Amino acid sequence: MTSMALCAMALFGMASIAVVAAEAGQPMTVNAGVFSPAQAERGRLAYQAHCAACHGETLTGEGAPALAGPFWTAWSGRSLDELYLLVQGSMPQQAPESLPPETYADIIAYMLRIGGYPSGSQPLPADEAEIAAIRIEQPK
Amino acid sequence: MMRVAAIPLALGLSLASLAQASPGEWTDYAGDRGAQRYAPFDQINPDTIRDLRIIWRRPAASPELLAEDPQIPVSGYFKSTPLMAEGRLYAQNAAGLIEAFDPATGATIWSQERFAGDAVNGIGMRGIAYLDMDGHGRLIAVRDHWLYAVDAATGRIIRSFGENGRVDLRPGMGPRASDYRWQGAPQLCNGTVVLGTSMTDAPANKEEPPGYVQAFDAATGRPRWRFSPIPEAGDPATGTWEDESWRYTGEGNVWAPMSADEQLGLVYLPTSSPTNDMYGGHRPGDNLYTDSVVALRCVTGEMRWHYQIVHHDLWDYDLNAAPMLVDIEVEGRAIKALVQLTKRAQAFVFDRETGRPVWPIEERPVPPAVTAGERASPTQPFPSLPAPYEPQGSLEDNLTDLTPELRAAALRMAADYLTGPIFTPPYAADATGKRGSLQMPTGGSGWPGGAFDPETGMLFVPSLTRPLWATIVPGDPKNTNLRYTRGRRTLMDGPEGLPISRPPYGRITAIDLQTGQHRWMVANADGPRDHPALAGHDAPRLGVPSHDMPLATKSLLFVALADPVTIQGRTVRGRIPLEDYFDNGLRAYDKATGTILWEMNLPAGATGSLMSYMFEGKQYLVVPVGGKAAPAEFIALALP
Repeated sequence: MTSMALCAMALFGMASIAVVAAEAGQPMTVNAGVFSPAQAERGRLAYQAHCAACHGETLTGEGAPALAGPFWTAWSGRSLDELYLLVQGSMPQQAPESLPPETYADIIAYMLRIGGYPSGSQPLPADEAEIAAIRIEQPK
Repeated sequence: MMRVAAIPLALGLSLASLAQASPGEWTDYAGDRGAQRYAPFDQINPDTIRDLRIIWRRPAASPELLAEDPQIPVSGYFKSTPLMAEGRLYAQNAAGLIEAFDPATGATIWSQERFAGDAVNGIGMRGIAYLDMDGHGRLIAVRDHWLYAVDAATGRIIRSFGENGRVDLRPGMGPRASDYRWQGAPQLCNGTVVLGTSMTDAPANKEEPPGYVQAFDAATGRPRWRFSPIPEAGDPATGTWEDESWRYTGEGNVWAPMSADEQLGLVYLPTSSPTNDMYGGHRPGDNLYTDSVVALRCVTGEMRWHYQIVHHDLWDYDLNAAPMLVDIEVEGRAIKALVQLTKRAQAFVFDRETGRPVWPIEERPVPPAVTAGERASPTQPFPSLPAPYEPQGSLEDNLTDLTPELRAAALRMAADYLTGPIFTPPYAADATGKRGSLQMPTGGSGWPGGAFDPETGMLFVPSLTRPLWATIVPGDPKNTNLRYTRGRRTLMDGPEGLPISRPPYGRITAIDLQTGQHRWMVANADGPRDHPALAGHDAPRLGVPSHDMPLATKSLLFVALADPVTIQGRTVRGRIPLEDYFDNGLRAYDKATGTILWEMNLPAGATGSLMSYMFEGKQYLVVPVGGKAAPAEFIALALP
């Protein structure tokens, strides 16, 4: 699949999420189903390859911060693009910004799944501007 | 003046206890057991340095490693520093495997034998250890969760060490630990090899494994002792953990390199903060032996002395560098001293035999906590000398004043945060109406530590200030039993993309350890002098916030600017402050004045500690480098 096709999918997905949120009259949050099951599964594989060595197989942290448990509490109230930019800009620690943007989005989708957030029908876009409107809150 | 003239002889004699085994060699991670980072060579000197050039480059993924696995992932953050002994260089490569290579060319001599069943890829260390045992050299290293030994002449596994050549380090971490990892450097002392461990800064719950320090017989690999930075039953230090919180609290681990004095038979540990970094409501009290310098007998592990640098840590002020063992003379008294550099940007100087401060250390009042359940220590220790080497707190005086406009903008920004002197506790945003606290100092001196010149008693300290937006947040009982957990530790964006703090953003400070006084201070790089917001202001060198790698020689001070890949935190926008101004500079300074005598831009910034050696009449300097886009490699420089 070309990157252009991925981008188109991402835009479509974002538009769908925005419609749902707008209809509900609420700010869009990570509880609104902002990633797809297939994306989270891709993210699982990418996490195992690039993250698990430091953050642990179960995201509980070994030599690096835990990405489960109180992780989402710590991030509550922030925008999802901040997390995306942090992960992209600093991870993997030995080679930041070395993965395709879509892979970073996949990994965040997997983290959201493990965090107990619901999936939706569309993948999380790999675009900071498009996910800036998604607010992180505790899983419901 | 008379006293100063007498110092070199006194220092030179006592240096013998700490110096390298053979002339020209570099047999310990930081040059000697005392972590001085001093090479007593002067071939590269102010007169010859103009001819210094890159002589060879050796990739972190050597041809031999790539032959085993062409797809081996290579970290840009290449921390490995070689040793030099028996006419060879030794270092772990990108996969954590030890290789021996030619000091004159960097060409491979041997690659270590691998244990059957082990993957090619693995996690190596900042440094390895070399030990001469009855004329036979051996190298001791940690790879993944294994301590192992190989023959320095051949790279073959020494099968009499541990169980068939290695020791599993996981069982020694206790039942609460699920794994072992560490990227320090094994510390040798009196036939004992001492190991620390890395642990998380963001645990899920208050029950965590203690950061055990494990020690083994360097000849056999048999366990000798184990030390817990969290005191155990029967230890009076448990009294510094109210509510019996010593029973469940973890960490306090030694993640940084250590040091040792074999004549005194003592190993010195820099311990770190306990669970959790930013909220201590589950561990009321001072929390000994965390954030402490701990002196243990090398062979038995018996405690000789300890000194806590931060009580009840709420700022992640881990001791992050090896205690430096230096012999100095203060007011006519020869002292076997220990210098602990810190994230809080103050040097603590002790008599390393007794733990008594060389200059008085005062307990001074610090701000109280306002978070529910938190009780900050009412005082913290402050050395009367030397003076701090970075600004002490997010006070107005420490905010930028490069231009009136930047100053006004910085004051407006700071008003949204809780500011105050060092040790202002982190706050939950809802407790104050502010966005969180603006933590300074953050950075201070890093794991590369400092460099010491034993001939003059001068200590050279690279350091930085990188302001931090810090918050704590209430824990959700559904996923943690921590009442508060760490929230933000976000690097702070200042006005116009410049730091909110007063420059220099990175610096080198020379401290005279005979007097405790600063001699000179210089910025570590040009930094953002040409930033548009500074147009027309003729800004001085401003520096960049990087943890640089120092090395003192007989005739020069070398400092290699660190690469941005060494920086963990990011701003809200996922960026590294002033990243565009990191210049990969390797600079040689006049030790007496801080004047730059020579500089060049390396292919990438430094990622590991420097080392130097003599081989066949020539002095070499080796810099481990790497980056996000640049290949990880060793770069060796010498005169033609």
